[in-house]
Amino acid sequence: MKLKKLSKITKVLKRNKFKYVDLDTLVPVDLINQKSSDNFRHLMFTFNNYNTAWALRPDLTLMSLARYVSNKTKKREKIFYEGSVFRQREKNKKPIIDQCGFEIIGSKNEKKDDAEVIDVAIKMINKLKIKSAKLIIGNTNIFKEFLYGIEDLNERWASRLYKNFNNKEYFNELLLRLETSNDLDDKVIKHDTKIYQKLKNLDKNLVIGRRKIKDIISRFEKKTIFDPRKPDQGKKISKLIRDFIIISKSPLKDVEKKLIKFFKSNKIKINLNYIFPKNLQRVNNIKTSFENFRTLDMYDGLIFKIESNKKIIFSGGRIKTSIMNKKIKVCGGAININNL
Amino acid sequence: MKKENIVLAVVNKGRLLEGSIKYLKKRKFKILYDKDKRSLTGKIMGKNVIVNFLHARQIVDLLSSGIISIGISGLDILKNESYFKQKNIKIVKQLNFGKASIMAAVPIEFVDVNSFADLEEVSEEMRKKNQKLICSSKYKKLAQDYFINKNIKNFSIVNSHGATESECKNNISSLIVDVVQSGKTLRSNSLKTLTDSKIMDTSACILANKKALKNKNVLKIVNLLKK
Repeated sequence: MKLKKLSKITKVLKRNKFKYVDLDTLVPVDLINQKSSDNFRHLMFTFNNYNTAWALRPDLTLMSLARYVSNKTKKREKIFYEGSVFRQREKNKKPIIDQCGFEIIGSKNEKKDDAEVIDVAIKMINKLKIKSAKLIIGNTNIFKEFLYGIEDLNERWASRLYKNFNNKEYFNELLLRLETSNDLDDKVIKHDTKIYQKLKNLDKNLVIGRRKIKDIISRFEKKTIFDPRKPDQGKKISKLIRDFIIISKSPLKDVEKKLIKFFKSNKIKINLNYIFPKNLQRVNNIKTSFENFRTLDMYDGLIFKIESNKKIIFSGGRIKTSIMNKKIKVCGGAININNL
Repeated sequence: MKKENIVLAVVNKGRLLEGSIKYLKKRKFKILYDKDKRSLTGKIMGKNVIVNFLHARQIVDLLSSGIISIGISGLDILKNESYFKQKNIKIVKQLNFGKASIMAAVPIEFVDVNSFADLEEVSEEMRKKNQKLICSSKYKKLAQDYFINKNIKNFSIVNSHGATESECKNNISSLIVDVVQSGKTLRSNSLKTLTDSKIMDTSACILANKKALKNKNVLKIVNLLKK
């Protein structure tokens, strides 16, 4: 049954000029640690072979990017692959996940390639005759620009909130900290300032706890002196962020208007030139909506998922990452064969 | 027919040993052993129970593999083990002694670090220099899970086998995760905690192997112990 479905998916990909590539099963752990975006370190199955740590591949995108970089090419490539990935999972869940993915690597024309990826994903859903499919789109840049666009929110806090949005519980904890400033203890600040004065008189290259004193001083100055928190505005900012999250969860046809209105009324200047491919507002029988996704850290721009009967069967988006010291832009998606 | 002896393991030193002996005595489990010869085994008077005095970690190991049936050890030790080990063990009762917290601490000179969000930023600054945030701890799993929960990705945990508090001073690590009772040791080693330092509270626990609990005699002893 699954083979039949896989063959249907493959047909769609080949018809759209995606080329099949074979990927390695093992990956050196170092390669994963060097990857700048989301890593799967804590979920990997690892072992040692003659002092080199290896892992069973935890993700196929990672393997395809490693392949692309090792080929020393910069050309735009349209590829697809299929196989198992291995991750430690919760109780009663198999640690083997079967995936089929496709990517446009070296993608430079964002609008065109994003539209193509979603178009192919929809073709697959139609070919597989999946009923009650729902396409949910997001754009990580909107949230990023919104946070950085809030006048009274300093850059450090904007970056902190953005990076931790994927962890709902911790994100809410940070919002609460922003609201109440419960982490700003006068006693602690006084004490730290005293030590800071002492540190200034020490050799700046001295190392304490593996950090140079000059790095500690510069971060302290940036944080406390040049980039102070304004506790009275924390509540307002926190409310604004919560409102944005609610507003951004809208049907696709309404979201742009709603966001423009929201930004205008709150005097937030952001560039809204591109949120999602325009052709999506007229997707045949698939329901569409917009949402601010939680898994932002590895994506840069478009992010999407297709659900059916509350199961995610397709997910993807645009990733900007660096691997083996090479920066790569890639747009693609993966279908979870186990959920079909 | 002679009844099979049930093995109860107790930590072999420190406050957990003292607390366990007191707790058992109150429940009329008087341990007979040769204190002077520093004997590592004993038995409970009037019951078919043998007492083994073991290292806290070994108690959890042996409980998980079913070699012993009942033990008194720290909750922190159990939670630091893998899911596969934990799943074989039942926490019968949390006890009122051996109380402490597992906390993260950094050198007091880290004036720019007051929370894990700060540490995350420091770890990303280190990544730019091809470095990692190094943490010394004997609680590898607990520390790793907590770091991941706080979105810290560029880190490495080095195993510490004692005197963990001195490892920042010796430039082995940038922070430590260790058991903290009053905080006195931290302060005397020029370390400070963060606003969200606390990883978990711990105390002594009565633990039992889940399969062993199906044995009526083990269950009887466990019920007497948890009263």
